[in-house]
Amino acid sequence: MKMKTNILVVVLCVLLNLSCTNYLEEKIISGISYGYYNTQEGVEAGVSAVYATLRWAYNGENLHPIQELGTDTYQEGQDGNLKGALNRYESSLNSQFGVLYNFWSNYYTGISRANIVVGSIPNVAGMSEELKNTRMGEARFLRGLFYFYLVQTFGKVPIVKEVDFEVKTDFKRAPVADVYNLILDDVRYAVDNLPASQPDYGRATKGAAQHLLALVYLTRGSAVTEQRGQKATDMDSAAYYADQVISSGTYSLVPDFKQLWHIDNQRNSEVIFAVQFSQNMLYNNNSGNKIHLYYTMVYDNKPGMLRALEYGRPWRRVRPTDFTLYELFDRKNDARFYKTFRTVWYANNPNNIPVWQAAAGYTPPADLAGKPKFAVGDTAIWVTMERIPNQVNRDSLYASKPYYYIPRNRQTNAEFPQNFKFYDDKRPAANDENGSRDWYVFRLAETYLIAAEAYGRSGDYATAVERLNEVRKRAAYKEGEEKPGEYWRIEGGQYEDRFKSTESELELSVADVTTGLGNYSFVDFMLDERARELHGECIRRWELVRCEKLVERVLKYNPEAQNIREFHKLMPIPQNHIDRLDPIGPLDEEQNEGYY
Amino acid sequence: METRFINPIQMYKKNTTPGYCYWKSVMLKYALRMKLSCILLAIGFLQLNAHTYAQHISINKRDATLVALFKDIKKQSGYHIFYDASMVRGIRPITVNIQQASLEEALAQVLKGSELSYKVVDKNVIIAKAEKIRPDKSPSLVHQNNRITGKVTDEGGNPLEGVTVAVKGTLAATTTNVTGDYQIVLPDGARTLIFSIVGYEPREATVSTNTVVNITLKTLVSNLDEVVVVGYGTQRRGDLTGAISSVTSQEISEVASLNAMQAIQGKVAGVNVMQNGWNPGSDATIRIRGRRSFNASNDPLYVIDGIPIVRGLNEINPSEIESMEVLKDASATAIYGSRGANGVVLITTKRGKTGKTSVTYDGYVGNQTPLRLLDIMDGPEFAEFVRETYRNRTSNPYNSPVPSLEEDQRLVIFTQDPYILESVTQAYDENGNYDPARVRSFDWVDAILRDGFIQNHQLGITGGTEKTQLGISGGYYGNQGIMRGMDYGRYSIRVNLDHQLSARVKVGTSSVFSYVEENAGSELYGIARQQNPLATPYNPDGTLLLNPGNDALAVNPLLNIEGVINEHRRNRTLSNLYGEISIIDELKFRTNLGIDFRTARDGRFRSSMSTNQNGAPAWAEYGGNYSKGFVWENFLTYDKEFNAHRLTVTALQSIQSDRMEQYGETVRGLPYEYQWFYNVGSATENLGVRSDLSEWRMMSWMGRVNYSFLGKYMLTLSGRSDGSSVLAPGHKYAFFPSAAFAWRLSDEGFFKNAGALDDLKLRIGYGMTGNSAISPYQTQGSLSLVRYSWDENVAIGYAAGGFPNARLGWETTSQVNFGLDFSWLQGRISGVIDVYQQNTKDLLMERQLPVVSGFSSVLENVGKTRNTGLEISVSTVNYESQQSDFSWSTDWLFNANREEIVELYGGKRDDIGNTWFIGHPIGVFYDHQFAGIWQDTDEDRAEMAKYNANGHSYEPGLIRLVDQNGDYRINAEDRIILGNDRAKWIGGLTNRISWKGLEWSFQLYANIGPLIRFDKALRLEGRWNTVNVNYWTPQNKSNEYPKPSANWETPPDIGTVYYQDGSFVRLRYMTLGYNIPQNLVQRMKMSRLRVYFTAQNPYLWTKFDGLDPEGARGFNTPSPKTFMLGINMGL
Repeated sequence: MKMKTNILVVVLCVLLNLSCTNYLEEKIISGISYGYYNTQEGVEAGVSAVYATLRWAYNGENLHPIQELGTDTYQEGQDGNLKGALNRYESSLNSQFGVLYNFWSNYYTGISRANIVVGSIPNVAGMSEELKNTRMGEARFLRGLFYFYLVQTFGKVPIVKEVDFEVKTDFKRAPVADVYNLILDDVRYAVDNLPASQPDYGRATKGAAQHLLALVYLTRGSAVTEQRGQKATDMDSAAYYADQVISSGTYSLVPDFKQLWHIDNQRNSEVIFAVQFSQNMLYNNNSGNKIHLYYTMVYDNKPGMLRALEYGRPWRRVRPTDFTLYELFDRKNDARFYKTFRTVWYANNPNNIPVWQAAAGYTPPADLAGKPKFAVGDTAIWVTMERIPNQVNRDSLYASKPYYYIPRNRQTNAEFPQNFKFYDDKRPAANDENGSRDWYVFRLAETYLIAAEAYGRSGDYATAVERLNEVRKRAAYKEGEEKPGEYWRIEGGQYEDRFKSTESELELSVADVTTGLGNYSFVDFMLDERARELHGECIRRWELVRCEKLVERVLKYNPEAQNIREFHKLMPIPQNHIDRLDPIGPLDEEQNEGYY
Repeated sequence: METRFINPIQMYKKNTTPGYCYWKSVMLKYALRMKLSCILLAIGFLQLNAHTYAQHISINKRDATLVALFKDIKKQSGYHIFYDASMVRGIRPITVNIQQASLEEALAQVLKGSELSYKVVDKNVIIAKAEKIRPDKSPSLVHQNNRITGKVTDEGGNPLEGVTVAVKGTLAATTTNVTGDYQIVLPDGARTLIFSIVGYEPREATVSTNTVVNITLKTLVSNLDEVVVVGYGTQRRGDLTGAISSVTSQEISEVASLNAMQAIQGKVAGVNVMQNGWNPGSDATIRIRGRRSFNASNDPLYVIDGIPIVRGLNEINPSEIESMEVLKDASATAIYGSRGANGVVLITTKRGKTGKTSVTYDGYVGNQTPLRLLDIMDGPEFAEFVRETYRNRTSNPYNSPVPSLEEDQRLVIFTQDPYILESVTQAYDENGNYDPARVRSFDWVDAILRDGFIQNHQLGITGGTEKTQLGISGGYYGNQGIMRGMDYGRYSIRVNLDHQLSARVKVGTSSVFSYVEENAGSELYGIARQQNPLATPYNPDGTLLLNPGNDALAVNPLLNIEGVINEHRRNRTLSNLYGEISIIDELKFRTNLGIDFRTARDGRFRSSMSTNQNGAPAWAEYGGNYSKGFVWENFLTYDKEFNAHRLTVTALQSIQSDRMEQYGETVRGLPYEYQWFYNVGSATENLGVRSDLSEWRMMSWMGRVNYSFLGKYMLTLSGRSDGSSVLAPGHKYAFFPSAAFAWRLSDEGFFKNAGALDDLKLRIGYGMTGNSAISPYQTQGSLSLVRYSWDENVAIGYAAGGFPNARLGWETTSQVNFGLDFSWLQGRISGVIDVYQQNTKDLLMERQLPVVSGFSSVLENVGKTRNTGLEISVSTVNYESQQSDFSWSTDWLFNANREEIVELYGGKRDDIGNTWFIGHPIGVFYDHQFAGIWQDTDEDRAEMAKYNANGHSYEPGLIRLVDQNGDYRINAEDRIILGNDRAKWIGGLTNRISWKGLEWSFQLYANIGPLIRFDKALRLEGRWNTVNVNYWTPQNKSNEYPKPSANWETPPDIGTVYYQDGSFVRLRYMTLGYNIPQNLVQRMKMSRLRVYFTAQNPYLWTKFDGLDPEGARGFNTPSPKTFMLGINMGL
């Protein structure tokens, strides 16, 4: 008994001792916490995380529907649930519209990630000053870019420049002019501190910062009635920084517009800044560039066709407006049209090739009847710009074509000439949504257009035309280059001219952008030129808003968007943001006009 | 003629907890009426001389019936009184005044003037007609055929010693010896034997020609002296102060289920069991008295043989469980402190007993078929549906109001697949007449279903010597699902061992090892139901094709049966070692060491030819986890009775930790597919490699005092201090106190005369419990890995993840509970009523932040929720006759719980984004209200025009919504709270009817009032098949579902038609069992043999139009109905 009591005493002592150790102290082993940002590796990882924010725009129906639906160049396709709000400007375009909060959330997250490294870089020991400046430049470049996206989309937005780990719910929207000042401040810092080139392809460079700076000045200075804090010198500044990029010698236009978009040519001399996507799914965070999905028309259920990698997956979210297809381009001479739009699909399904048969008043020649209309590799679908006159029996005409023929009369929101600049046949399978194509955010052709517009807006049309012609020269068919069949079959070209250059037809004179425009303004001309060159590149709404032309041009060119009102130039501040504020200011302060 | 047999009320189970002698306490209770100086002496005396009737009975009643007087005597003496109801009928009420009389004196007074006499045998009083009472004859003097011998055993086949065997209607009686054997001489004319012993249901047996009568007695449940397992000890049910429900092994085994919690659906008031799904191996969500937490877990704490465990019960075979206690109110759960807020489930597994070794086998096999299937369009219906969608297309529509061959040939969905075109065109004859019956159709759902099979086998051996007791068992549970590709198997082995090392030291273990093999398959129903019924799954050569109907997104679901593998394998070793020392008689020290080792492996494979990959390279994932849980608890129990007081003090110190490693790799591009995931290194593409470690620890001190005075007033006080590593420094510890009081009103003088009431106890308790069930490391904030790339080189990024909150503390729930336990009419009606309110504050909540701050949320202690509820459970013995051996009893259950959010981080402000509303439960449906379909009438057109002027584009055939504010603009302001998915009340009704060896039982379960959402995925765009809904057409002016149209991907506002009343009543099971007669069983050298047939889930009554409002609210695996045959065998 005594021994047992002794054992008990020992046990109890052990237990009491246990309580003295730091038994409940918590140590993270597999994870990592905020102290990491005070090391060089942490800063590098922090900056990479800021870049990662860039991908959101293109890894889903995110920036694309906002920028393309409901504009002058695109209207709704057959599928998708965003068209009511964004193309038809229905009442569902309100503060609860989900994509907008995602937009808001993504870019403020990016800003916060940038703020963390901006705050921590000065405290890091053992990192060279040069590297510190470069990373600081990148972080501020991106922060400026994100604020630029936000201010163009929402107008007044809150400014946050640092992260503290205190719960904060009180945020006031800053005047637009203040936001522009912050952007300019950040991007100027980037221009001064970033190197001309970076060992890692995809990082921001001096050229990228200069391009952005030019674009920001152009944007601020484009305001006519709006108050963006614009200054008289904005156009000079825009032209200056754009010319800095042009004259740097670092960049040059890719000679052939089609080669610019070749998937194997993503890293080319024209790209100034591109969002990086990788063929390694892991590096893509198991997501990817999905823009290829949204333009694709329904080709895969047509006779002789099946879904294929090269033609993509037909999500048909948007469809070019008639303005785009029939007015915007000089389709005969401007190579950009047929290099932007796919009109021909070649048969790839031997199991579903149609046979010649009598239908709708058409009787095939006796020797053809019952025979396959075409073989694999032949044209299976042809979408053309022709309009079949009403008196023609169209069903009979269609039956007489070997291929599935889609003239202008037969185009629907599922079948239309489709933008294929962003095709991606590097995906593992035809139905795979995640593409690996880099997204060109800034490329030299746009720099030329920025410079041209800045010069033009300052009245220097000669220089403007000079810059424009650099872009248009590339847009033309080159001598010896074979034009597509449409050139002589549809667009009125001569068959024997099919190898002739069209450079001279596209070259502009000062008169072309001034007196020759008639009622059309120079700004409208620039918007057209941008639409031709930068077609579908997810910036269209910003361009129209920048020039205060959104409502006018949408009413004019987009028949489905007639509901648009002046207030639609800005998107509503997401309700999720307003609801989480404490205190919440009056609605006319927290929300944009028209949305409350 | 009816014979009433009085159920003994005061009984106790055999094998009560050591250190607590029932007999002592009962005697003590009545001895208290003696002078205090006599007490100690009396106890000693009574223990030695159980046959001396040292009772002091006082009854002072006017015009009392004999039955009432017997009851009083029984209550005061503790002796059971047996009599035939027919004998006392007709005897006039009498007036008695008995003061401090002995049992004999009291009985003599009460029976005076009647023809009745009595005899006291052991602890029983037998009442009989006076002339039948005669002295026992010596066995040697009677005829052999009047002498009956036999053996009395318990359900496990163990001999029962001390069973009273009496001859009915006479005073002849005897008791069984240590081997359970007895012999008795039947007086002339007597035919019926009565067997009784405390703790068991008494039985009668009619003697015919045989002279051997062997009897098995069933353990008696639900009475005051039943021992109830409470945390860190046991208590008499009669002494409980908290709300605790007990479940017996019988109740658990009535339903074939994967785990014990699923079995008790509708059987325990306040416990809401909702099946999560119907795949083999599917778990259920258990909520005890509702939900209270947003972010922290709402799961109860499970304690198996004293060891608190994490991660569920699925590895414990329900047949291993001896009993289960559900602790509901704070006074019961507060001893589990920080982990008690969601209720506690205590599980005791079957242990060995001293005595004869018993071998049992329990098993069942069953066939499963779907209870309900959805009405999916067949080929002809789908073809017409497609035509209608194209009639409604704006451009290039279907130009015929009736089926037309020419128009059909223009429909791409028909023409894109030659097989479909043939399926459709063959319905037209040469004159163009259309006969829908000739359209070819394929039933995709039928092709993915099969008959399921369920089986369970459990072999158990228990036994032991005085010093060592052993209980071992091995079991297998297997279920082949009704959906192809799904099955589940569990193998388990248990060893329970107790050994008395010396007079004062005892050691033992409870250990279980289990291995689970689960093929989760893939949820095929949702894929199969959307396939085009006009298409075929086969190539001309009979192989499966990839894209039926030549639709690039429609992937043949039949390919998934072989092509999608989700295989889980789990090992779990749950083991508990204990040592117990009686330091002095009243003071015991016990130490428990519990370990919980778990390993799991998940293998996933997606063939290139599967819906997931749809032709893309094959994908595989291989990973698992490895974890170790550890608990060490040390506690002292002091148990002392003195005078009228009884005191139990428990003090505990405990530490617990849990550590989990996880790992895995995901790849794509397997060079050969038959490997599944067994050679992921061979893949061309690495989609991710990961490993992770997470660990938490807890440290606790607890003290509890149970005090009882006169058995009438009971008090429990407890306090527990818990520290947890997952909380912030400085906020790690919290103290959780509780107090509860119970008052047995029925023992008070003023209740003494309340005739039929046997027992009435009032309970009131208040206490606090906590919840820290959040993931580790949340207080520190963490960075999350994001990757970027520089060209094709990786860039590793770390982004801000969680917001570090250095003030994160406990979520606390305070709960008040009022309870009433009652028993009426000699136990024929008994039950428990509890009302409670729980207030939870400092909720661990993801407080939403403006993302502008850099974080979209922070885990904080903010907000309050409340649960208020009522629980009633009543057991009734509707009919019982010993003579005809017939009995019918019913368990009634009702509970209603109301959850509400009281406060959020914005104070009383709703959080619409999360659909959290003050005054409503967590998770309401907040949406537009469906108002029907816009019709093509002038009235509707005028209304539509008003909306359309405001930017809407309504037209006939589209969904109409309620414009709540009447501004002709349907926007966010027009959303309302449509309801919530919580049941308004839950009811259970279990009936058990037995007649001789036959048993018939069934249970009805009702879950009334939830609003649920069945997302029918109605795209109505003519591409995918769907539930055959009554869609609008110009001819069919449906007001239920909109028109189909190829214009859209989904009809506008379609989500608003998905809300439905989810109330249901289910016949959970119906069992017909037969106990093979004892003589036959013994001839087979067995102690028990029961066979039964069960229909499980054979009927469901509901208005819900989906598969099952519980667990299959969408296109999930349908709930099966199961028909089983089972056997219970004992050697």
